[in-house]
Amino acid sequence: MKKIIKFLFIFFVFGSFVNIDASEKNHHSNKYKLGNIEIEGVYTFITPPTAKVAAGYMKIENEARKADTLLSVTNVSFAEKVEIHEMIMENQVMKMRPLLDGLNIASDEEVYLKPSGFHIMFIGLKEPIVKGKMYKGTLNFKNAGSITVNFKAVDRGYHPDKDHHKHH
Amino acid sequence: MLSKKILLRRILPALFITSIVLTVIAFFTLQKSSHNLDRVDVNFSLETVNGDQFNQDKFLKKPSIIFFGFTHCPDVCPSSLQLLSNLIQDLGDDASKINFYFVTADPDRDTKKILKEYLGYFDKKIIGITGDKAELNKLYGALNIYIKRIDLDNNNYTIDHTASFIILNNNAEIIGTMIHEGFSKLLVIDNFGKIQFPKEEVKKNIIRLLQL
Repeated sequence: MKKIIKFLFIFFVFGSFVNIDASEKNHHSNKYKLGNIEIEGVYTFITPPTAKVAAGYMKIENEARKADTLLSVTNVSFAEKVEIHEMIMENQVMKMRPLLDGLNIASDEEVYLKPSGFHIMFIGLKEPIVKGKMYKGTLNFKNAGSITVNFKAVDRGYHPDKDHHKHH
Repeated sequence: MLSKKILLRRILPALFITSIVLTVIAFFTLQKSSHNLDRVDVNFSLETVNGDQFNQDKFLKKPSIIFFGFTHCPDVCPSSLQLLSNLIQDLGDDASKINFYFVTADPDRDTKKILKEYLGYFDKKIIGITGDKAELNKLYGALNIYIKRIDLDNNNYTIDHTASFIILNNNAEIIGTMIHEGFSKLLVIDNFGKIQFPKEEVKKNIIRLLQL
């Protein structure tokens, strides 16, 4: 009898862990839909206390028949300025440039904003990015319109999903 | 008859001496080949963020791993510092046999105070270096580091910079580099024969390269 209770207990505890895991995962992948634009895995890395900049990442999928452009990110209270950047590695030299005309997302394409690639750059941080906190920003698309998303603050080394690995 | 005596007395000693001479020549030739490595042979005078002297002599007692970046860099610099912190953790006691440096590519904005506070967030073994531009330029040049300021709109600027880690042996020679493989991994490259060490084993590769 004791054995059965023990077994049930372990089963229960383990089961609840699995459940927590699953809900966390859903939470992490914070999905958004704006017309034919789907946004997923929105995050930013925690920053050192004196850091003046941070970068935001996500996956944007355009299911529309025509291309769209992420023009800007506004409504950000924790930074003075926000830009959309691309990063290029050339012969081990890191080059970062603002995309002045925005980030193009072709029809039926998905674009990853990810470390060492495109990112939303938060300039002039008013507060450090702290783990677990959500940071709000509004994404403005040329065609699809605007949507407010939450950037989840995570540790460095975090990957939003397995798809990101594939694209590395 | 050319007896065994002659063989023993003349030829064998001659062979013996020849072999020693060849060994000595081989030894010096091999030694010489290690001198094909680029060596830091400029004199520069900088200070660490803690106010300690930092000059070319610091590259002589211990091997060094050096990264160049700036605190206004949102992506590759903090990630690199995190990867370096992880490596230091992995190395455990062996980490004390190496000096780790983060040298600013942006001395205008990275004051000692700002850099010190910034680095406080990463492994404490990483020593911050900032200071006089001319002195920093000497160091960039000696380590073949590309650094270029790019002016952007609204008086803002960014800096293009080499994002690989330079590995010096304890003779101030560039013995290898660590480069970014994808984003979350580092790859060790030996500058002797440009051997790329397996990427999963950064710690072992560093120990092997520096013969710790």
